[in-house]
Amino acid sequence: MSNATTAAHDLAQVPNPALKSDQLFINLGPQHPSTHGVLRIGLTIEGEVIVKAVPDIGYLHRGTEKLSEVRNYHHCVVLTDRWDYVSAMPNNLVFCLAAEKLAGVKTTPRADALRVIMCEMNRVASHLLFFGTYGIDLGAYTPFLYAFREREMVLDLFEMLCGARLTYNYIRLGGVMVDATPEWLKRTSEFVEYFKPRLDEYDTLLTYNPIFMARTKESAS
Amino acid sequence: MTTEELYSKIQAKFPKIEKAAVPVKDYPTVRLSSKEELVPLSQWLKAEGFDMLDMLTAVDLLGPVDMKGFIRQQNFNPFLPDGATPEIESAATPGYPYRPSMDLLWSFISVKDKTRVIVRLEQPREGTSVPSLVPLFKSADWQERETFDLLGIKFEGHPNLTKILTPDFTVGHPLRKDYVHVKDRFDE
Amino acid sequence: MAMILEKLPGLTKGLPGGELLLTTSDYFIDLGRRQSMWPMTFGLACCAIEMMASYASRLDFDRMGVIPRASPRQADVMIVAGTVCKKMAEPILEIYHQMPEPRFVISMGSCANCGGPYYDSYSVVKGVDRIVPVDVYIAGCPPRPEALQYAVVKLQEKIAKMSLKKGLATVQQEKGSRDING
Repeated sequence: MSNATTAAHDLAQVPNPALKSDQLFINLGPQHPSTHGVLRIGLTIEGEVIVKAVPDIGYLHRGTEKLSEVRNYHHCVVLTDRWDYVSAMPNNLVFCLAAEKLAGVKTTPRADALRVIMCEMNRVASHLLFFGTYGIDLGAYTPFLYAFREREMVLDLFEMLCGARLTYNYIRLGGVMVDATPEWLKRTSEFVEYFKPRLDEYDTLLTYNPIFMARTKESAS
Repeated sequence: MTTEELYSKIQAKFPKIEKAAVPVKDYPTVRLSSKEELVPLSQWLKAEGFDMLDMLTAVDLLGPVDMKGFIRQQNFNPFLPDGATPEIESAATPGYPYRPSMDLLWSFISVKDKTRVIVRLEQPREGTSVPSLVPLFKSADWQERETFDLLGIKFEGHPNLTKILTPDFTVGHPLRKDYVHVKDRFDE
Repeated sequence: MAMILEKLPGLTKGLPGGELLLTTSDYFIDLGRRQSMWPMTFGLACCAIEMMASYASRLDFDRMGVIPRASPRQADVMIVAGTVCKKMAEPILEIYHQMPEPRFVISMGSCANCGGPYYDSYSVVKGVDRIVPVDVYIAGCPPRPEALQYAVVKLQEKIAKMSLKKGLATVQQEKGSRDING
């Protein structure tokens, strides 16, 4: 086991300096094999080591600031969902908090508690997606399926509450869209109990995987 | 350090800088009287522990936004009868002091103390430029490019002040209130 | 498939023509094309997450023969999922031309259909069909993964109607794209 780790590890480091390879300029264009949105990076590589990376952004610049100028505050909440689309609740929340502070509107404690619950559940969903796609980028296809199995459960809960799976538009100015039923709260606590042992499962799948560690540990110098 | 301490320290060192009339949230907010004070103040702030430039943005105070900057038909709601006025239009807020200037805003953060200082500066819209903070803060690079691209504020001393977000054929600066959209080949 | 081939002599024995099955070459070519469509992962924004969800555990796309391919050179169909910005329009066109024929385009989500919630933005193309010819549109913001799978089913039905006489082109490909450059 340790032999395998060190061998892969050595390959990742810059080999002996007498072996100098030419620099190659590669364009990691806006479309990547990993569906992570669009980002263009101009890479200067030497062998397998990236020497310089110049990013180019703007391929998903939608002009939300300009659009908000001609929309009501309520209409803008719809646009905020799409900023960080893997976790839409916190985006809604941040905009609603700002607008409520400006307007001097107070929310009820129950609405505040619901907002926090939603944001934390969304954090779970978002981190599951991160974990799954991190594995896929390095070639580990299995954790992706495990992560999405749990993510679908979280999204089911959200759909039961507010009808949408990804862009919820649930946290509105002054509170939330609908109240949570006792049934929903019961299901959420059941999900939390179900989910706790899954974290150990993900650890065994990916975190302490020797290939994963060899590819990620000390790969930037 | 607390807000009062910070204010007193700043006022002791830079007598011309005053407290802003309206503080941003509950952060210490100061207003510069001229652009030459920006670099000394940021150097002093960096030495005091505010080692990260979090945000650089600006507000265009010219007036309500000109609807010619948007690509939308006049009556875009198909359920309204012809000739009806659309519901959302940009109207002037009564009593707001509109003036032809831009109000810039820098936000410096101290990561260890978890405090934030906001610095504001008002500049005329055309013709002037503001010193760049790139030698001091690396994050100012893209922030200033974005502000230049969207609002047209030039930063002197910036190594590469070019468009970053809008496509190359965009004419003008989109977030300005008097931006008129020039139809390019993707709008029909 | 293996089961059918084994039973085939038994099935055909009773046919009037003997041990022979008649069909059209169109049917077989279209069968091959539609039952193994390989999309290129072209997720731009939020709809990409729903696209990934449709590849994942609950709604497996592999059961329809749909396997994501990273490179346009190996893909049949391009699922444009997400907002098409003007800066991104030219790369999309390049990638579309890099796909070998026959190629299809599915426009997923309202941003790709018509500009979506960003229809009056200065930097959003109002619909990807201003750049490439689209075969199937999916409405939604974002559409459910089941909607994407239904769109693939619809595209399969559309491909089943392609024929050699028409040069094996779909209606969109015959009419040509609304290519603004050319």
